[in-house]
Amino acid sequence: MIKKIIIFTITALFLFANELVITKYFNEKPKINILFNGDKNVLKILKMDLKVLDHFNYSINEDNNATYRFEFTYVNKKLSVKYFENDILKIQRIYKSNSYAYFPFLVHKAVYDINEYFSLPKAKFLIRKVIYSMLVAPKQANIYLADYTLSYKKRIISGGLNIFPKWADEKQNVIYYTKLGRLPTLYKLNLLTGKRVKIFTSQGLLIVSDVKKDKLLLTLAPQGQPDVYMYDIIRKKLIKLTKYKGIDVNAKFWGDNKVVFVSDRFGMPMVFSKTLNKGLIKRVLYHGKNQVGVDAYGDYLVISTRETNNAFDRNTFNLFLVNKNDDSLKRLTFKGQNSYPNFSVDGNSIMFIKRENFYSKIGIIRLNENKVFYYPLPKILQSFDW
Amino acid sequence: MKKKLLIAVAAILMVTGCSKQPSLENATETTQQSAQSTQMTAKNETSAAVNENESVSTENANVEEQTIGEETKVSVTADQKFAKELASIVIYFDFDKYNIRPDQWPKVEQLAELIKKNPANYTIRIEGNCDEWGTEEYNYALGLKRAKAVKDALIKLGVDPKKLTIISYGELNPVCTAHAKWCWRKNRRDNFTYLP
Repeated sequence: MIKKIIIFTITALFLFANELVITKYFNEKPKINILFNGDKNVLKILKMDLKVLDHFNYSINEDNNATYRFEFTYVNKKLSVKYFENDILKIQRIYKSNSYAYFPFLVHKAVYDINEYFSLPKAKFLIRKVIYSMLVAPKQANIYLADYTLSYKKRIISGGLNIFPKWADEKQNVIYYTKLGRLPTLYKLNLLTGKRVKIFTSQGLLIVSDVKKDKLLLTLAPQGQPDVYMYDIIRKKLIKLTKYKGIDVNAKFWGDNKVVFVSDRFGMPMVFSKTLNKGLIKRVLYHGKNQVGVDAYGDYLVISTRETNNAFDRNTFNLFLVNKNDDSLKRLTFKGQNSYPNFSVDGNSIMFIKRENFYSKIGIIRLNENKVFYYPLPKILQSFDW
Repeated sequence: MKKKLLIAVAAILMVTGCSKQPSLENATETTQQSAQSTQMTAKNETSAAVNENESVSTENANVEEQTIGEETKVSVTADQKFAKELASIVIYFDFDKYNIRPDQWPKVEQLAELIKKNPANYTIRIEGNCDEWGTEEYNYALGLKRAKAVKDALIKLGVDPKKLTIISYGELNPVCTAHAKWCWRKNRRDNFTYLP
């Protein structure tokens, strides 16, 4: 009992210490003043960007005696941003688009540039495009292109089941996706040219789980047996990485020489790692009733675990952050069904899906800022990549 | 004989009646007067041979010819009956499981008998489905394992493996979209589709 109390006290102290660090970070945020002139919708996106970025102590259209002032003017598909320091104009930047609908990307880039101006931690999530698949009717899922707020939305692929889209390149011009026809087929689509290339077809199951340069991690089941494979796009070489008779899915590259994946080899889905050369398989997290989703960035893993075990009622799925070096575990969400975690390209944010009563929300965790933001979605989101 | 004649006349009337429908719709779009409009659409039909609408109407005509022949009629209905019987069998699974439940086993046996009784050249697609729990990739694999479990059982019961293909729809093909336990139970299932 005494031991338990001591452990509890230490945990509480640790949490408190963590809070202190966060408060300090909060106080040191650069103070800026924003003046906005133009469309109300554009202002809405600007407010959202500053809120989610959480790097500034800001005020909009109100004087806060800040040294830095940014004057935003949006007129006729053109956004102009003037940077002032002590009322002296330093820089003027202009962002233009062909269509009105594209304005969220102009605002995101403008805010991203301000963040860069102060050399603050990278916030690439602002300017990354999100590609997602959404179920619009039973057996009908479309693929859409969006900004991170999902305000801008463009339908790219429709008709039948188009699922599991993944960015194929750093510049976000090419995607991979699976079309579930009579047989699942993997396609590569160039969004700029519209050129679509069929990569291959496989019986039962075909999912791109991760992309790293010319290498893909896939889940395939040529004989009805789901296993993890690695595919070299250039050499057209397919290597089978797992051969367990149950389920092996959802593989992600972890560092240079490892992959992590979800397997039910212990009777329940759990996350395992495997070294690529030696082939050693290890369990990575001992928490939760099961672990159904995983993503990796650098030394970190984000894992979605089921914490309740109820077949006939609402279950709780939460996200945990695991550090490879010190085996530390950090809880990122506290209630609801949180799944499909996905690191941003700079590793500073995690996007995930939160589900409530057959509706889904997008959640964004800002790791350094210790905050989570949600945006609603009208339908079930099948999967996404950003 | 008289009866047959009457049916034939009625059928012709129905056919002509049907064929006029699309042209009348087109007519209202172009002009208001019915007499003039029918003439205009008739012209359109003859002149625009490349029009997409035309190819659709000829397909319909082919279908009607086939249904008149008695032999084809019998085989079509037999296939349809078989497809219906297949579709009526649904095998349910437990939460997070892909092994066949003992109470579902009689259905697998019934399915094996049904397939063996129909020796014609066809394929059956076993479609694994899931409820809303879990991330999509794991759900897909679970759906596939559910399909494979039934496929393996059918092979053990003497069904030709060549006749069986499997696919997983994960949670993308729900039969029930209410957020309730009876609904989730209905979605954890295998369906069987006849592919001629």
